[in-house]
Amino acid sequence: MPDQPDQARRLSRNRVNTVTSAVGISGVAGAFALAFALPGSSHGSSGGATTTTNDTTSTTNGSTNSGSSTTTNSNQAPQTTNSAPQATSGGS
Amino acid sequence: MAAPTSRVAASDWTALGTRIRLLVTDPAALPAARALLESDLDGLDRACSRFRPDSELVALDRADGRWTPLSPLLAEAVAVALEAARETDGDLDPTIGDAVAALGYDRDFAQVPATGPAITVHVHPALGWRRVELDRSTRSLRMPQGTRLDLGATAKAWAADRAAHRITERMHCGVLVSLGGDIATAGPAPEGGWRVRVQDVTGDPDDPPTGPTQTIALSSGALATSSTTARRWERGGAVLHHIIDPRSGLPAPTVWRTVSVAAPTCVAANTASTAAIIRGRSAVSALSRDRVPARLVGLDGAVATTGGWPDEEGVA
Repeated sequence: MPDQPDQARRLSRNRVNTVTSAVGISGVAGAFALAFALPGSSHGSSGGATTTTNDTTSTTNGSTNSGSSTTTNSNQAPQTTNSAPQATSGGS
Repeated sequence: MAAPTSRVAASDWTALGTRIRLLVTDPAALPAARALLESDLDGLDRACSRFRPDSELVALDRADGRWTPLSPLLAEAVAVALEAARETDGDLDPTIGDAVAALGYDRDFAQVPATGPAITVHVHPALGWRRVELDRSTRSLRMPQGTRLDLGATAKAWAADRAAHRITERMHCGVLVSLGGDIATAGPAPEGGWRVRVQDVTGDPDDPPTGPTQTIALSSGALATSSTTARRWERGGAVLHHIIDPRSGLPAPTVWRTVSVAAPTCVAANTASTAAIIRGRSAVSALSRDRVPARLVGLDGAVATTGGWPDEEGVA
């Protein structure tokens, strides 16, 4: 266990430096394209909802097909799409 | 590698006081995958909940400074929390349990009154993670009398990582597990990657978002967002939130509305995003220096990105 703050910070840096080698992330155009529906909110529902979607469904709603994106130092090829989000991340 | 099929099945429900979303690239695997995740979350709740009187974590409050045996699940959850504390030099600290409860977050958040009269709190540092002794060989724990643990900063992220990998190993398909916006993926992603909208508060993908948002494609790894705009309440007109600075025992100053981080694991992502909220403005330089892909949204909605986070083409 590192007792010294400097040592702890070095460990932290070593750890986060590995971040960009193993995560694939890219930008997506048309954030609000909603041409197909994922399940409705299940807030307050114990049963929840289940559905199947098809990622290849084309969308409209002002999205573009160009959607150039940049990637991180990822080993994944850049990918763009104009489909709707499948999930959200916003803290809770 | 992309999944051979582009069909994705989804299931949503509520557990642990938060929204759960499970996506799999093999629709036939969804029922079994959901059963596995539900079982995992039930076990996590029994071990780590601050709010269940019968949880193993609450039982630790009665340990009175003695060595206490832990279940494998709680031992691992505590180990993950202590590791996050070590890696952030104490910016995350699981010994904030008493502080967050004193501020009013002492029950499931849905039952925390949104407003209330002023409260008196004592400003002092948390007892400190270094005083928590975890003996992994005997799977036992000892901490000073009066210490109350809160594993909220890491437990959900760890559970998401664990469940995603367990599901893909058993079902042989790609999987995304979102526990209140702590997102872990495993196995092959669908063509184009898992599409995740980053926003201020976790919600339904169909709902129109408010505030600055961006949709990204996650082809591997994990994503976590820490937010000062979620889980807020008022006491005496003062706005409080759930991300506690262990050095004061008070909610961290709200420099950022949200911080989102992509990382190989959800624990790593959530550790970095929560630490960034606590570190405030200095987080940008630290994340940039360490080349961590992150998106930070200030109180005025201005967005800063680091570490090669994708451009904002998707922002509306």
